[in-house]
Amino acid sequence: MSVFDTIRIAASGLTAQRLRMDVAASNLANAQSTRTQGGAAGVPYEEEAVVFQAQQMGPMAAAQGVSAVAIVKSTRPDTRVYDPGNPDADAKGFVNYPNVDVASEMTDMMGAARSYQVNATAAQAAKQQALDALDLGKA
Amino acid sequence: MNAIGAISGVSGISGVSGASSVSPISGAGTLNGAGATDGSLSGSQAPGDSFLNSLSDAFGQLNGQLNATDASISNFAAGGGSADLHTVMLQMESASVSLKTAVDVRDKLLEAYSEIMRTQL
Repeated sequence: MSVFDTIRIAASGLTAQRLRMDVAASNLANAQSTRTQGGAAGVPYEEEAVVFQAQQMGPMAAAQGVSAVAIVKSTRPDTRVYDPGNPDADAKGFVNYPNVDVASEMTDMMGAARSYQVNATAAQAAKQQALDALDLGKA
Repeated sequence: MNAIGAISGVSGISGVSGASSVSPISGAGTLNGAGATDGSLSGSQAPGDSFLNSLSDAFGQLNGQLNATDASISNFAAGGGSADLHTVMLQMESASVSLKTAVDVRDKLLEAYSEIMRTQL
């Protein structure tokens, strides 16, 4: 178990939190998207979430990094708003807006930012540990 | 890195073959699969398990790691690759730690060499 394994594990956590941040940003950006790219009119964007999985990185099974295995779409029902003037309104004048919960996306984004900091601190600590070990040879 | 070729002249030190504990460097090239020993310095040595062999292997790996880091920095600066900022940064830091380790090993080696050379005859 070298110190570089610790750094790799922390790096996988950083990558994971970056992806989580990307997905949260995507959800927030598309909170009002009533269409998807290449999709039919009236079918809105759907909230996405990342599924993470522990993954062995070093030679020891106990030391596991993280990898994103899937991005799943939320099954929560769309928000229906009566707006007959909207080009994406259905026959009854309702528009399907995405099922994005902006408040929960904001908290998720804050969580991703904090987790990113945590993983960066872990990498920093691993590096500092290596430098401390090198200092053993001094004087 | 060619400095180590000069050091390999001091083959009298190969008696310290028990010092296989320089292996921390050997795990170093794995951050981004950078284990490729591009600048292999181990060609001039006869096969064997001497200290100097493992040392030059370690230096070869370090060289590979530094080259890989160099490549990913230029890749990142060119905006080409999809690598994240933290990946490049951590690769740089790992390479820096490896380099510091190598420099420390070199310092110890030269220290031991000059200690031997100061022997009163």
